[in-house]
Amino acid sequence: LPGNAAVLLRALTLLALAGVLPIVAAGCDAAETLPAGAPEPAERQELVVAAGADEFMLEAHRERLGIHPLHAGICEPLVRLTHDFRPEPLLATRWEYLGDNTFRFTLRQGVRFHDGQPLNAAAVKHALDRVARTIRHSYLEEESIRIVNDSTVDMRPARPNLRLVEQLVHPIYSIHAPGSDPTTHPVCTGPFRFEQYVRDDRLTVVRNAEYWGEPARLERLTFRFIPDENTRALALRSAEADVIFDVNRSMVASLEAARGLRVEAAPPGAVMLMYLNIQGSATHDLLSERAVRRAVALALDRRALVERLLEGHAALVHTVNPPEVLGEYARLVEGIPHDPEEARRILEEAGWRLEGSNVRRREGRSLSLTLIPQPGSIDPAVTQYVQAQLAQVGIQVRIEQFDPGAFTSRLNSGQFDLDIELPNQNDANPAFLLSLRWYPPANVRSAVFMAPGPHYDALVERALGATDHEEARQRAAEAMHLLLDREVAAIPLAGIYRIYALKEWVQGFDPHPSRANQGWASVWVAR
Amino acid sequence: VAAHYIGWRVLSLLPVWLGISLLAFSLANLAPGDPAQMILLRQTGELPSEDAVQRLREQLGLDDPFPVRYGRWLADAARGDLGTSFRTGEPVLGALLERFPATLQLAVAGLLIGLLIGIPLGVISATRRDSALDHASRVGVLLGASLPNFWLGYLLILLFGVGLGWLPVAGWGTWQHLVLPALTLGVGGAASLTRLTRSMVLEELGADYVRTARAKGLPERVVVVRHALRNALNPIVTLTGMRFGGLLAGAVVVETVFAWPGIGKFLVDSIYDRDYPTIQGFVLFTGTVFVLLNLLVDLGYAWLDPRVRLAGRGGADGGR
Repeated sequence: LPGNAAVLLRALTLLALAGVLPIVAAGCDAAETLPAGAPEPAERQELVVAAGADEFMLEAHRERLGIHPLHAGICEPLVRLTHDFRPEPLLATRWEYLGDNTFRFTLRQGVRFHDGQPLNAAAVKHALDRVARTIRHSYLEEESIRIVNDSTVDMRPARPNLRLVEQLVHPIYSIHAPGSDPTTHPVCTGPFRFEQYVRDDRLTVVRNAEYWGEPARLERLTFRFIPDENTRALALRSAEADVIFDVNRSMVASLEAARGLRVEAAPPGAVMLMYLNIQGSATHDLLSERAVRRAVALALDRRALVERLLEGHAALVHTVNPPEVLGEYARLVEGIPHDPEEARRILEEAGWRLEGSNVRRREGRSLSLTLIPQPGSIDPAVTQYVQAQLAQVGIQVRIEQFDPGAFTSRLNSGQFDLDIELPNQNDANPAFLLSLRWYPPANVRSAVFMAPGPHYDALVERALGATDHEEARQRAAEAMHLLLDREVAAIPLAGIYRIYALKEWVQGFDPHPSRANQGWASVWVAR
Repeated sequence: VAAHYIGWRVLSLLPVWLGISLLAFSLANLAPGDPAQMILLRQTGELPSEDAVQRLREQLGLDDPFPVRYGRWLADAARGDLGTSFRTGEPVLGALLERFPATLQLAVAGLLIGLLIGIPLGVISATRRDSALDHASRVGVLLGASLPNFWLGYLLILLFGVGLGWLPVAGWGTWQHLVLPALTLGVGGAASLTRLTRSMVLEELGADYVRTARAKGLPERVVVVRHALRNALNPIVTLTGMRFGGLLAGAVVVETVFAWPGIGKFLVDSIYDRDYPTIQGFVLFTGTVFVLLNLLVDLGYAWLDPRVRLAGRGGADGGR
């Protein structure tokens, strides 16, 4: 070849080799995948659910394959969470408090694991000992579980904990079969059996025909991991997904308008909360003044936030967790109304004056607050809304956005005035959040900046020490009343709906307020 | 001479590699945020207790002084051990190598698409300057360069995945899954390559040696392809190398949009969670890949252009 042509040929060969080889390699080790646009055979009871990112690859969740954060119906705990946040029997048919921090559970008879082993007290102890060993924040220790007889176990947490039954509804306390490996092939008692897990791609389960209860109607259920919410919506519009998780409210209208699709929302399982730094140091101590805190709460029109900004995909709540968690006692928490005039009056009375400016001042100091939203959970429109609302009464808000690492660092060092987060309620413990975020004995670093004081601590301890669920609800409501109505240490902004979109022929889907407890056994396909 | 040149270049990588390692370690450790807290936070979904955080910090060796931690990490890295990910519990090198092939596939396919579109279009645009085709390609370049990756990705999914149903919307595993993300990545590359090729070829077409070639009566195709394009190739190779390095470092947006299990999203999540070993390992790994790519580009110059080889021997000035 002439020199120039040879040079070009070399260049092209180089590029072709670099380009083609990996593609060929990709084709050679191709995983089994759904062909694009392939029609499903009519009436086959198979469903594809597009979930978010795969979190099972994380060390924290590896022991929870198919269980949490994505609950695929493979495994079951002793008790489960109802839609109104109560514990109800599942693998345990009943329980009782024996005193001395000890609970006795009676196991359901005739239940078998997917591999044929019977469910008994030894299996429960084996499974929960493993949870105690592998999950750093477990409420149980290895010494906690004692076998009474083949169908009875006693549980005695190392630390006094009368909320144990309400906490055990969380799927992380699921019972795996002895000898099975939860990290690669979970074997449990649930309505679905594990079939396949491909990291970052999919988790597939199939019907457990031998299920002890009502068998699942679906033959196969595949969860595909699609982190991007827009792509999930497009997958639903194509033939690749039948149900999608976590629909952004901005997409709801277009999905509802699309032929063959529908949208369903779960009742709030999380409340968007504004935490106030009420014990801050020199630069962040403005909210140590109760009058300012009350003015902040009065200035916020939360109904408009729910109805207009969040377009009705949220509920107006006055509690720090879904009101159902407190049952009828939720009425003890009154909430602070929207009254900007009153907010202005309180601030004036406290000496915060406008003095011709848009921002109030007192003794040379501006009423300027720093707001840090929880990254990834809080819509920027919400923080801007809060900023605009507080500006109307002369309170300046500076919004600072961080990634999760920097956010927790700011939170732990008290370098904030306002913090908006979206904590989930995944168990039935009415004092769960109360005993974590505002209760210094829990030893959570940021609690010292938010703690209302000893009176509140005493009320929380009464809730934690209640032997009866209803009593715990009442005590928790009393603590919440002090926290929100009197101390204004937090402001509930909205109860957030979790939104799903489905193909119209997906039937029997019952959205649970706690996504961690979402069931699939009742779902079927009717094309 | 070539072996000596390569040997010298490889040796010169050592201080660069040390610099990268120090930078990687310092940046990861200086960022605010406590990895122990992030690990526990991810487990429970709620802020952990101070005792639990402190116990985990001790377990992870995070309380040791900076030089001790750096020395320990560097010694391990020199043995090929980049540590264990705080987030996933996997060995970092294994985790990177496991995800790297997916990113490599995407980067190579995207680059190839960019080259296959960009170079011919740039040449045609230059040889037919101010024609309708040239104007159209310039508009195309403007669009290709200014369309954000994610937006183009959604448009392609909407057209080929939802509308026509020809290709999968998302996922990984078959060649069909590769098409849309590669095209999304390739379009941006094609735009910059078209622009560069056009301007370089135009510059070469105005040179004396091209006038001479034409005066000799060589066919225009030969003048353009064998003379002008050949001389325009060096900056194109440079751009290609840089772009390829950038793609390997993680096309995080495209990987997220198409649920592509590559290295980019893995890194971003690691940064969010202050997974020091993974961040450090990634920076070191991709820094090394970048440096090696630069070496390959330099060697590519010598392979493609004899003047570079002669300059290396001190026998020519590299001019025309």
